[in-house]
Amino acid sequence: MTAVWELRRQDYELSSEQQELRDSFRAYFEKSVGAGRVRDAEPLGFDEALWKESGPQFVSMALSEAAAGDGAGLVDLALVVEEAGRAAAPIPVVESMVGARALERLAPTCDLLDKIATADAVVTVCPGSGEVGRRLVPAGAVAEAVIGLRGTDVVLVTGSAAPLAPNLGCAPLGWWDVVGGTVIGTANDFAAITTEWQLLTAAALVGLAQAALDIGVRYAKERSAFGTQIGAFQAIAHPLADVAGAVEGARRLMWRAAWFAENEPDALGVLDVGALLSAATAAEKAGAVAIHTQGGFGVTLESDAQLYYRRAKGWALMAGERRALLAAAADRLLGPSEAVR
Amino acid sequence: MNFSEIELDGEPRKFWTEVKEFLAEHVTESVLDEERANGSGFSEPLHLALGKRGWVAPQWSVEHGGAGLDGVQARIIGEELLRSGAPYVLASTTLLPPIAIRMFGSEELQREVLSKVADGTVRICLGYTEPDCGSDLAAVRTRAVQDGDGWIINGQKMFTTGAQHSQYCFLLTRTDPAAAPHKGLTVFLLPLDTPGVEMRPIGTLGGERTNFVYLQDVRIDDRWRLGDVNNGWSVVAAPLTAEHSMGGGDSDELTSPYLIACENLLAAALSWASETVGTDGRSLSAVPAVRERLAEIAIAIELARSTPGPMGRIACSDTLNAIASELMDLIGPAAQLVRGADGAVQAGAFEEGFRFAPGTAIYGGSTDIARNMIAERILGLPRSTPRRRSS
Repeated sequence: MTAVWELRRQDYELSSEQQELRDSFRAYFEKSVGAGRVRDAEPLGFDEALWKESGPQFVSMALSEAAAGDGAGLVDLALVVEEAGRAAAPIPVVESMVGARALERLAPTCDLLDKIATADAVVTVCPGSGEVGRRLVPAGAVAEAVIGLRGTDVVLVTGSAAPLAPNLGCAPLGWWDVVGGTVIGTANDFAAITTEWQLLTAAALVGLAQAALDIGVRYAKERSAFGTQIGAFQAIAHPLADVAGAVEGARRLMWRAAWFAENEPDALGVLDVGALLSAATAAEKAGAVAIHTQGGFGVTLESDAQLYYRRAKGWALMAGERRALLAAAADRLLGPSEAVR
Repeated sequence: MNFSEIELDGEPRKFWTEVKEFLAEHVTESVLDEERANGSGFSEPLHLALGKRGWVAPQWSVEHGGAGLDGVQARIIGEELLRSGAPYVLASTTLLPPIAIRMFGSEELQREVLSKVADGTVRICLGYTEPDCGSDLAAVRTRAVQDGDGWIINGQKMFTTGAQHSQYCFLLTRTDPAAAPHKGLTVFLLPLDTPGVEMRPIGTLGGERTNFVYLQDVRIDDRWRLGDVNNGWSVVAAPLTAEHSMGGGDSDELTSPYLIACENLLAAALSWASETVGTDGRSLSAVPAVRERLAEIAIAIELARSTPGPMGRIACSDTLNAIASELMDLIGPAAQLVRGADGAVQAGAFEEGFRFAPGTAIYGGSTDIARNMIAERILGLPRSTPRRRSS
């Protein structure tokens, strides 16, 4: 009954280069993207000027040096994406990074690669199963190409950006027909795309969660009621402490998953889905606790907490149905269902 | 960042094999049965056998009675021991007071006690809390009064786990009732064979045995005092900090025993699912609802594993409480049958886990204390525990 254990390093420390990378993007987003800019980009959730300015850098990081990029690893990409999430930046960083890497692997001669490198086009990915028909696509309302699964093929579908499907998180979602298009890969190729999208979305959600937690903590220190700072009440402090644990745990699980995806993908196990679901839970909880900490103010549109709360649910939902995500994780834990007697 | 396997070749690989062989020999069915029957958290034959090899305190130097092992080797011993199901509680608490004995004890006292801790013949229980204290250690009332060159101690201690197998109690007493609560405390290493010491067992929900220790006119020599008179708060600080991290979290340390309990429950559930045939003639591990639930639990365990420090201490315990309950719901009526009962599932593992789980949120400082620590020290929120008025 005793589980087998492996003697592995448990080193979560960032290198000094990684810390610098994170700090520089944190500084960039703090300077460039305040809550006002996030609000101004609603309801589309896309700030074209910001994307023109910053998009080429994100895409370049995602591409290998052979494709004239910087060849950043998944852990480094996750660090950058977390900062974008922390700012709730209205730009399709995750989709563009994953899309660029997929294009480089599966369609290296595609002329879209040049266009995304200069932020003249957005190529997005559509996570989820290969069912034929209309699919709600992240960044689908600003993209001119979608990489998705159709049956057991990975296809690249091009077209003009879909109309915005107005939504909870003010994300640029749009309906695309994932039919036709060019076959560029197999279901196996799509598994790698899915893992990358899940990990980077987890990173964005961790950033959102941290921002919401910070809002709640700041308010608990500033606000007084019943003659004392409300953060001195355990009914306020303990939920914030639980959120802090959820955020830090999700962040480190996401790092561990990214490390495995990059270095030992065969040993990834449930970590990619785990990172996504844990980050989703942390972000939603952080948003809800921040709102509740602020009390009546938290449910007004003036509060920034609601910006994070809405996005936490919306971004996480794009990963697909919870059942399907858990079924995929179960395949890694128990082996495929068909193989079970 | 690095999660790669630690490559072992030659000597370390042989060492690991040696540890496994040692445990196979000493963690016998009868040791496990005895622990299930008595819940004492201790096996003397196992502990003495560990001591013979210097493995009670494997990282202590050889001249101090340890084995002078490096971190990796110590981790191999610790993980294998915890995962063998061997009773471990008293072996763990015994190593906490020596932190303070080294810092505050006389050379004579260190010589007398530490080598015997290392060879396994001396065990030390923690005399911290009392019936009226709970987690508020500054409230202890057990009174030590100076009497010539010695002290007379009166009072009672509670949850002194392992006292029945210990030679000493690391005892927190009040020596100046007029001082502020933190400032009137003194620590002694009390020999438990001193006249006036009596103990009574307390049974727990999880099947563990702990104790009351009653102290009536117990007279001990001043040489058993650790640190200055009325400086007891500093003396317990280092061992307490070490104890707070024992519930889990610090990832370069040993896996939390509570997380190992989670892993064992998941492993039992995986066996249950593959061994149980559903209505369609296939095993339950082919049923989507079962598969999804198990995946969710595996994910919760990985999240707890990645959560650091006091947050990890909470996560390991909360996760154990949650999954112990959820797995029983998944398995159904027979999950509640006790080990040995007709039809017990996985030898009653889930019934046992459900009883064990709540205590893990209390032991070694409750999860609420951990939440206070996070709120105050990590988030910088104002202090939530009321400040005691100095009396």
